[in-house]
Amino acid sequence: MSIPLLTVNQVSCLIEETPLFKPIDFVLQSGVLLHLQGANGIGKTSLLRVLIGLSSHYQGAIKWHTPLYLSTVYLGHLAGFHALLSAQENLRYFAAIHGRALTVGDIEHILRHVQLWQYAEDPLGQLSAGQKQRFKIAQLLSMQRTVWMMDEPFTSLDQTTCLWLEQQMKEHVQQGGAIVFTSHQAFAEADTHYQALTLVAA
Amino acid sequence: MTILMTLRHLFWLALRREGLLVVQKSSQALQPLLFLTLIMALFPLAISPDQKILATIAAGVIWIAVLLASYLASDAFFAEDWQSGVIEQWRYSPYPLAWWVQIKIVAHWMLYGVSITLMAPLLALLLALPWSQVPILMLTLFIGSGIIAYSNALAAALTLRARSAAVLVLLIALPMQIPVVIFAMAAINLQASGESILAPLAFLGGLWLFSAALLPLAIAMALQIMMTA
Repeated sequence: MSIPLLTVNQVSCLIEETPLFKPIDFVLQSGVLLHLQGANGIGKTSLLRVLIGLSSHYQGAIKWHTPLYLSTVYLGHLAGFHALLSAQENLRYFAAIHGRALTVGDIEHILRHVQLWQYAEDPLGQLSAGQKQRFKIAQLLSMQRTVWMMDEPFTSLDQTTCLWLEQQMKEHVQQGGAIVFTSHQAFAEADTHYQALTLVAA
Repeated sequence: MTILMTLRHLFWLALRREGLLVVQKSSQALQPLLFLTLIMALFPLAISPDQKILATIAAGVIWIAVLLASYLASDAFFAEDWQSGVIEQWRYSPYPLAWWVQIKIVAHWMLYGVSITLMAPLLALLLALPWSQVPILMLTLFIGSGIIAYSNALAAALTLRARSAAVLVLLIALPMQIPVVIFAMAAINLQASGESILAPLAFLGGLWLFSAALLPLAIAMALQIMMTA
């Protein structure tokens, strides 16, 4: 059964009162993988930020049917971790922000899952761009939230990891989660959960 | 449904993070303390090694130096967490933004305020402050550094997006901190002349509680506006 999580009605992002793209409508339901597409600068990142309340420059109506702070996790362009601290410390703090206490066992499990366990003690700033992106995904996975808002989750990832991430995303929506993500990459196998929404210049 | 952590657990976890960051950036973190000690060491050289002269100005000099040292890193108070997107994540916490601000300030105060308080006897020794005045100096530094931490954090939050934030932080925070210096010095001087210090201490304590209760809310609001603007 799908539950409506977010209703978006005639929404467009504004830059100095001018809409960036033609207003869009959609209802995000559980079990949906929504792919936001569009050219560079069309406003995909701005739309994600507007949807989760990080920006107030928009027109139209956005209605969440579930409290954001209990259901949603946001993976943005910004790191969300401190480069001087280790993966372990950052993960523990990130989880605490979202109200979850992680045990040492939980942390090991999650970091092994994204193949970063051998770097668990190193400052995150020393890792490669792809490894940092994997860490951001570890942060997202560890929160056990229903709605994932992901801005360019495939950035810097190698092909194997991209496929792995696609698999993770599919499993999440199959288990009743919902995902809104932006990406220029085509999703390899589109299934019934997959929906695409292309932003068109206004 | 996620079971929320207890506030105490959360507090220690966040405190641990701030502590680890200080260790990681130890040279940067020790800067204010070093700065403070250097000023103290210069005073006897520049003014006079005469203990009587030094003793009369000692408490005031220590207080001014503590205030100036507190500005050294304060414009960067939220900068790293802001640029790395940690503050953005605070918004998706089940706990209010003001709570995260509060923890960060308390952690900062516990690390700096407490170390400055503990350094006070050493500073007093350098400037020949009579030992009888050291306890009251430590008490005013302990409370005063708490107030300073809150007002500096407010100034840092308000200037997050400004280019030359350091000067602005000073201009915003200083007026709020002048009463702190006045009442701290009043307490020290009154005690030296053997009178009751209750009135200035009550004022300092009140200002501290007022800052602790209300400034995190104001800072959270400022951060919220910066984020969505």
